Amino acid sequence: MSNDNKIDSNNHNDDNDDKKSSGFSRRKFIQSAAVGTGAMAMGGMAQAGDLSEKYNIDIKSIGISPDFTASVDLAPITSTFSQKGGMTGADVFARACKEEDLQALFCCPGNYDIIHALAAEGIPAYGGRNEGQMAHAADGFSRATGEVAACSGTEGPGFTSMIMAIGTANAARTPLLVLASNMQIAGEDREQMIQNVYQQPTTEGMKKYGKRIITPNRVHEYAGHAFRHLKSGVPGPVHLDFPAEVSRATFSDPSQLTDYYTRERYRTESRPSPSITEIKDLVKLIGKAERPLIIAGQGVHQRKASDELLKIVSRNDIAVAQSGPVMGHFPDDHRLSAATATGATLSADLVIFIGQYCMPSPGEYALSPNVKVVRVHPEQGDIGRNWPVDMGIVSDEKLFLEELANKIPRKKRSAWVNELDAARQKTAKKVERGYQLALKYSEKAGFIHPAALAMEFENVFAKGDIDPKQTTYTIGGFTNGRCLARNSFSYRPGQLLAVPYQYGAIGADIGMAFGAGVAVQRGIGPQANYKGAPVVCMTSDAAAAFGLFEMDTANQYKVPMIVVIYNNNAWGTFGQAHRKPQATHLHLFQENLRYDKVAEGLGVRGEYVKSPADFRAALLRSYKLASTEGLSTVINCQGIKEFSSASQFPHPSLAWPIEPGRGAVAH
Amino acid sequence: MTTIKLSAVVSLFLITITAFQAQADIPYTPESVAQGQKLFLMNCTSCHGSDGKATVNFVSDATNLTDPANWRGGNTRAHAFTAIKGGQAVDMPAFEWILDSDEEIWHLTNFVISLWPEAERTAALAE
Repeated sequence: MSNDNKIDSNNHNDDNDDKKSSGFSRRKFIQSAAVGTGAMAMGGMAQAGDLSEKYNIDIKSIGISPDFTASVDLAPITSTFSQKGGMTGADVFARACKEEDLQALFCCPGNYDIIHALAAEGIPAYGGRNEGQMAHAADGFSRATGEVAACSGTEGPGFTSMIMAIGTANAARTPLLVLASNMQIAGEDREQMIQNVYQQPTTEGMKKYGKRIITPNRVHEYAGHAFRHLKSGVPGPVHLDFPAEVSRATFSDPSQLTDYYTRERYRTESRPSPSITEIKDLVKLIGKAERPLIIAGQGVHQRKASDELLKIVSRNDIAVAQSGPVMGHFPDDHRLSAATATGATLSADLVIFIGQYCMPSPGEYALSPNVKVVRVHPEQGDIGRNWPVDMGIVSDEKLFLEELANKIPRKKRSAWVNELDAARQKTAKKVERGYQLALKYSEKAGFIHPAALAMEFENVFAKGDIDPKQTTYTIGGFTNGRCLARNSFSYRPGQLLAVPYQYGAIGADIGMAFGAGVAVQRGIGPQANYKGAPVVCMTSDAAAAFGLFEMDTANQYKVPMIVVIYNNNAWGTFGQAHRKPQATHLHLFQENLRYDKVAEGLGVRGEYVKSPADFRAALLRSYKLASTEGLSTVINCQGIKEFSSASQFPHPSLAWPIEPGRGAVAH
Repeated sequence: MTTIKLSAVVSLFLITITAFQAQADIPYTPESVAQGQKLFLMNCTSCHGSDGKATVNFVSDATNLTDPANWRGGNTRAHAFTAIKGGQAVDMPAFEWILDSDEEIWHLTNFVISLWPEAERTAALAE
């Protein structure tokens, strides 16, 4: 089976079983998920009938084609130069990707030579409804795992459909391999047939490396270029475009290819590490500080260095604010977490940025203007950019943390720890106060306020019977994103994906959640202990327009997703036209649209709620069905746009979250 | 929900929330401005920018805090305090729900006034 999308009930770690005793314990839920998913895999139309009866979906015609299941179940093939006709350029590229252990491809049809070769070679491949959403899915998969993922679209429109996702991935420094076909070299500048575009200039400024491969026998060489960039230093999108002359060239012997080396020879795993003097000087600096703070960026996640970070800060009582497009590499419930201790960062007298790829400028983080700054970064050329430093250390994040862990002495900083704790409690009280206000607004208006939705989300997934570490989720949306900033949490690596991080894309949520769902379904990297768990996508009516059709994709690949749509009948921006009301209509949708009904039309469950209590019940119901039956649900949470008005419904959630800290979207 | 019902709900809450009590003024001092700057860095820069000029087109029509002559709601210290505390228009949140006390709102007010041109600041402080 090329896609490992069957739940393996014998291959999981029950380390959380003792934490919770409800019906949602991990053991119970995974065992039942295995049964449920297996039952669903039995076939197309029969499943549709079962669904319609069991969950009252009145559309009996929807089903998964047996051809889909048969295709997914086919064993991979390994292409060889001795096969009839030799290897094509696409085969050579696919072999290189396989050797590099490329973990996933998300695509739409087009770029046939490449995507067919990758799927046949056994790269787990997923086909969706929109190239952009599939590129977001690859980004989501990569964020949830720290691994490279690929996306693909056809030349011209399929490629340009991926642009928002490439920009999003670039801002997030995601190692995204962007692949696209590109007609023929022979047709260049002739408007030959259709779909011609100069691809590489189009991705200028939103990639780490790119190349239109024009010499067929250099295809393996450029695969090497791509993976060198994807797996070194600060990652970012790599864009390769393949004219037909390259993908369809044939090779009967490796000597026909340039630089046909194994990956051990065309790239290295050697990384920069700090000098003994640098570590010694830093230890001195930390020793002099009363309130040291580490800003742990995504480099800590990418380099899988959470354990080393925990060890260091626990020894020396250093506070940590995690940052980046994916959160969880430092647990929000840790006594040294500054991410939930709003404002405490202003007291820090030393800040150490580690793996902060997207660098703020002074004033963009709540830090004292006089704070001493150290930056640890894998690339020398970036240190000192945006924020002046008192000390710069060029190092891989993991190697740096390993070295520091060996040298840092034990130290107690009770005053600092107490200050963090007080700030955390104060923040929690403010959030609770906002929740109570949101409950009142919801009751009076008869529709759910986004801050009430956010707290119910926290109640279910952080404070309820479900293991708080279990669920991977995505946070997006303009209105509810701001509310969820106060109620989002992460306790283990790869748990929270901040969808709009830095680029601010609205509409990436559902695709990105699908990609994260694939990672959880297969238990890749930090998702291993939660293999098969449902993923939750917190999104908006505006974003739904971009990605809702990917529920079809999730259903086909049996990725259990719960998509929560906050439906306030408008773009979250509607109030921005208040001084020019002639433009207000530009921000509005039809009122009371039923995204739950659209979901049912796509073969998944729909729920419709208007109150906080109903939302909580629907969330629990949906989670149980996702866990035990593998069913996906879209919950339409009906609100009103006026909740976004500061003058009509004053509420603290209308202010942007303070950074660094949870809910950060800028840096 | 009908517009009339919604208006009634909104009015009820506005009456409840905007019924300010008279607040003790925190004088304009360097210490207060410094306190206000910390609060500004935490709460205000995403819309108004780190220089207060609101030049980033992220929020439409965010107020340029350095140009009180063009403020629509008035440009006295009391106006600034009221705008921060109770919010303004659609997007300016009511900071009485975000900050801890009127004292903090006065610190923030004083910092905002520190961004004003000298003539306007002097006039405001003389009132």
